[in-house]
Amino acid sequence: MRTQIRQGLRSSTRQQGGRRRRAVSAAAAVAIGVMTLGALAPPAASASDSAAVSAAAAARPDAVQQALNTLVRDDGMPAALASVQDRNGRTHTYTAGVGDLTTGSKVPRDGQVRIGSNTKAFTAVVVLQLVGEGKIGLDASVDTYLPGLVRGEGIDGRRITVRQLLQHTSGLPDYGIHLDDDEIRNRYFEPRELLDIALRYKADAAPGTTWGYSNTNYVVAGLIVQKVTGRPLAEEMDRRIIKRIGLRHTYFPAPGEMTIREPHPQGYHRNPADGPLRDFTELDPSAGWAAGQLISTNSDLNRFFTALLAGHLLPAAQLAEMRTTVPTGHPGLRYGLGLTSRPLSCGGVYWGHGGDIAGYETRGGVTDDGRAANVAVTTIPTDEAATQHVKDAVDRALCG
Amino acid sequence: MRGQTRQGLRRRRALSAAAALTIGVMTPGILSAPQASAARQDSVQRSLNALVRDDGMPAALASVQDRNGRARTYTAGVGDLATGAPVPVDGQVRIGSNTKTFVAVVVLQLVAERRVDLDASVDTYLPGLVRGEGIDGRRITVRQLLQQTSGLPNYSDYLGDDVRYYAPRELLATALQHPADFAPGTSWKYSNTNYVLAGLIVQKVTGRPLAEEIDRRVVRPAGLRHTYFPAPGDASIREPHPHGYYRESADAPLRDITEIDPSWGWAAGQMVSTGSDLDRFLSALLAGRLLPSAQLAQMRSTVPAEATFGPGARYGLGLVSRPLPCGGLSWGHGGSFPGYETRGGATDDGRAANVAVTMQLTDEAGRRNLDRAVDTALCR
Repeated sequence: MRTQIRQGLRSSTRQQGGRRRRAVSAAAAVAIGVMTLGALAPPAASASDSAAVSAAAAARPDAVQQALNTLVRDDGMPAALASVQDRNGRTHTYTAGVGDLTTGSKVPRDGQVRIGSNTKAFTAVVVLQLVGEGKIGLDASVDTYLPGLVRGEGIDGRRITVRQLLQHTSGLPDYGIHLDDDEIRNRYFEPRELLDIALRYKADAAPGTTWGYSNTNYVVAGLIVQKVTGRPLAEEMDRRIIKRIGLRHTYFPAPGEMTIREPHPQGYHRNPADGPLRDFTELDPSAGWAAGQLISTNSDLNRFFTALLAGHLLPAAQLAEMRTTVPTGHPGLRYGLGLTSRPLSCGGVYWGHGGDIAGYETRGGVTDDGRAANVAVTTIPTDEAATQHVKDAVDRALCG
Repeated sequence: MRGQTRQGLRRRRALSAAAALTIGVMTPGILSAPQASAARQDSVQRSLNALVRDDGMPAALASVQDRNGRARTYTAGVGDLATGAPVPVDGQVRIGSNTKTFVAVVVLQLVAERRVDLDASVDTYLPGLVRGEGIDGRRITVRQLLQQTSGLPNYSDYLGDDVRYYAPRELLATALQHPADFAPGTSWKYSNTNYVLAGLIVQKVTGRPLAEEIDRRVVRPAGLRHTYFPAPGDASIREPHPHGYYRESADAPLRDITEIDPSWGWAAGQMVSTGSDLDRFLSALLAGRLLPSAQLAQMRSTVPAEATFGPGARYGLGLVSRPLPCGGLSWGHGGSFPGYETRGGATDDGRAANVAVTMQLTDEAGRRNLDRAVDTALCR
């Protein structure tokens, strides 16, 4: 079961145990009810249209544009978007595909997407700021802040530390794998309900013994933030990160808010994995909460990770803790505190997180010398090749 | 402690100084005799004037609807003691426990839709959630929650002065640290915990946030354009409003408490509204525009509640009946929240009145005078 690592707010049990096995056939990709032929026709054409207006436009699409075109043409992504910042701070944005399969409308440049588990990096920053302020101890127990709340079979909040939550070494079972995307689509969850779901299951491991990705860790971290600050998590994130570094297109949707506020490509989802693409743009993201509720853009994500790595969000000591990684069992991938590192084909690593939530997948990060790239696709890939191609696009953007 | 409780969102102790700003610049002129505005000195105006002059309220506001549907609004005092600004006519106030009536209506709509059963246990909807010393959600019914006969301890007696953001489940957890007040169904005692649980049941059954259900099922259908459930973290009041005040002790200066996180009220007291909107809401409710007749009848089936609501008062399901001096009953709830106290009701023949003052009332005389102002407005 541990073979699966998506930065995912993965929810369907059907998705568990690895990627969905079925490849996306071109035919399946277009099985949406009322699509016009124009919208469906040649992804290559729409990709080159986008290329023509992209900042990096040239007669010949560059490597990033080509990678996005491939995601649309070969991997059946309705749209792909990228924002790339080179080491001189120049930013290029790219799009491919269509923003809306039913109307064939264009992909809004640097449009908003649900960033899923990238939210965890934001939550971790808030926790680490509180560590810097002496309000939270990284090695204090969960019970120090939430006495008696975390109990279950093999689960004891007195034996789990804040660091283990952020590092995914708590052994807490993941509530996310017990939720079905269609069942939760219109469902509002109180954060405590998410924890309740997790605590019905026994611990995956004893605290500190194993790395295992679990959304539950971040829900507990969010509850700690609220307990320590006495303010809603969304407000703390907004005040401590979003406003502070000027992420003008990033927000934590309010309870009940199911839409995406600014221009955005529609998000599509297959559930089950071999089912047709369905428009999943509108959904209640409360099942994500501290583990995956945020909406942002590729450019804002670049800004966020750049500011983080440049030390604009955390004191040096806490940034060092955040960057202290453990192996995950997946080649090359290491996990810090709400921050991943992955090797680049051109040498070195990039720091980021990535996220999957029904409708959108995002991957990206920054290098220590100031390059940054984020790529979004408007459906979660259901086969290995497409999943790899999203990561390849990030590599291309950072190494290009 | 017992004597303190009225419409229950009352803290035993003063709010901390940190949570309230001292008003530095009060001029004696502002504090002295209220100008009775230019309005005609009718009986309602005179009772508002008395609340300001004799009971020391910074402001008093009333909205009165006669049986022909004509509405009149009144103000007395000042809206902002620091600037001497006038009281906005029909300004927004925190309506505190009047929120319970809205929640009860949502629950009863769900009863009519057969999604909630009034006599089913709390555990039917929230399995295993309600357990404690003498407390068992399998033995408490939805009706007992709405009727205040569950025996659940009142969390707001234990929050102290800590005005911060509370998630609903934190409020419940606070209550469950204390033993039951009595076995379910054996007595009556006002407890905000009952309504927090009712709100959690609404969320569980509908799968939507309580605020959204209240908005969709009550606020919009009744056309309440100045009524809302503040979002998490929203400590302000959106539309024109008189400032709300607070006094730490009898001889302490008034402090402005308008900005406050209302999350500790949640389903028991978080909403903001106006006197006119409350008139409209209660009229629509009694006229059967919000509930089928069977559920409205359940809501109006009352038990004695004099200890909290005064002589002759009875409690239905989120609805209080009080005898009027001119005969008949008024139906409403009332609310007390830091900065604001509201009383009001509607009659079966279509009269409605709501009166607000911009301080929580702490003495019997003040409460009596506020109730009397409502009586005056309904019995003119």
